[in-house]
Amino acid sequence: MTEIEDDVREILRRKADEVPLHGQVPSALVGRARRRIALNSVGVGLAIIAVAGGAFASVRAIQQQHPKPGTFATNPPTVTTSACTAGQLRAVGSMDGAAGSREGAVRLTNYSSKTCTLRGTPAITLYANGRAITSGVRFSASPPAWKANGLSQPAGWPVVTLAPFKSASFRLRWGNWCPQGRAAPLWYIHIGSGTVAGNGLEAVSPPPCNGPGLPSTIEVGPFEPSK
Amino acid sequence: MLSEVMERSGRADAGRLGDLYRAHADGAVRLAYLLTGDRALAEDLVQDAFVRLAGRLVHLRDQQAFEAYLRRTVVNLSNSYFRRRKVERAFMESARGSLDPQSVQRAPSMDDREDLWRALGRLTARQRAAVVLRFYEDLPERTVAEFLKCQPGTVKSLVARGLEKLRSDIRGEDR
Repeated sequence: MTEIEDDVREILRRKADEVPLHGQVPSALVGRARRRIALNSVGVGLAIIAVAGGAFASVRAIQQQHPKPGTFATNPPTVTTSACTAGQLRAVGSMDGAAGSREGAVRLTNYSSKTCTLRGTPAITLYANGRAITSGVRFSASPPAWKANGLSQPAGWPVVTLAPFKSASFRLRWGNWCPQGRAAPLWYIHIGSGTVAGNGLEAVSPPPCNGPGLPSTIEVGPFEPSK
Repeated sequence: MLSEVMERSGRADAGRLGDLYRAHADGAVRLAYLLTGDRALAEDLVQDAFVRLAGRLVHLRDQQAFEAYLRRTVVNLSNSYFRRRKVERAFMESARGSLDPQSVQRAPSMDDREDLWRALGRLTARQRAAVVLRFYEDLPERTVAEFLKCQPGTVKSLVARGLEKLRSDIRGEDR
């Protein structure tokens, strides 16, 4: 062993000993870890729902193709476009910082092989530390982007038809997140048949606390076709 | 109901993570400090590593596996940090022209060991990681190669070049 190797071992050991011991788990770590665990759990939950939904749909399809003996086939099944399920969609959102609020949109993409539809305005639940935030947040409706930008109404709206790999979006505006420095929440979007995680929104830096004691405000727009 | 299950499993995993943190944080912070030379950054990297691993606890059966996994994550995060910093620094330097020579003047050396510590900070991120993993963690070349995603021969050369650079840097500081 050379002298430099000994010296390197020695300095590394000495420097390592300078680091104080960690008896306590930092509270910031607990919060961040819980959010990560919650996000993963929701992912697993959604996967289970998607698999169960798929299995149910397959059983129904088989039953329709092979009616039980003694029953008569009624009208042939009509081809209709059904409402999108949570298992078909993946949501990715982003918001940019305006002076006192954050503004952006959530994009929902149909990753299934079937066309489906979205309609209306989604409900949103925020989660922090693994719990839904049930107070201190006021939701309100905002107009769709096409209206706000003075564009013509998209064909078929308020129904948005999503062919496979096509996307819809809705606007979000978020303000007054108190107290100042409060951690960003997780966002979950309810679309009638289930819930999808709003990926990317957890990384949005929360808006400033402009009105301590007042609720956080979240304006949500209706679904509209995404470019 | 889903949220209840989520919350219960979340609480259990967070509790388990606390135990793992108490058992492994000291070693991980020391390793991160030796890799980065910055104690605050080391704390941040280790927290990031624990948060990353928090989502995978459900797949973890073996305590030993966690330690290796944690070490590997710390090495990866510190390498990513240095990669990002390299890009930022290149951008800053191109924006500023060249560095003011006074700003890079070094403080006078306290003793030879401190010179060596500073010289370690001037190695490339991969050289430093290879030296730390070999001489502090005492890992065999093959394991270091797995951590750094390279061949054992590359580790040998990273360590040899790192030591050579340390030698010449110290000789330079002595002058």
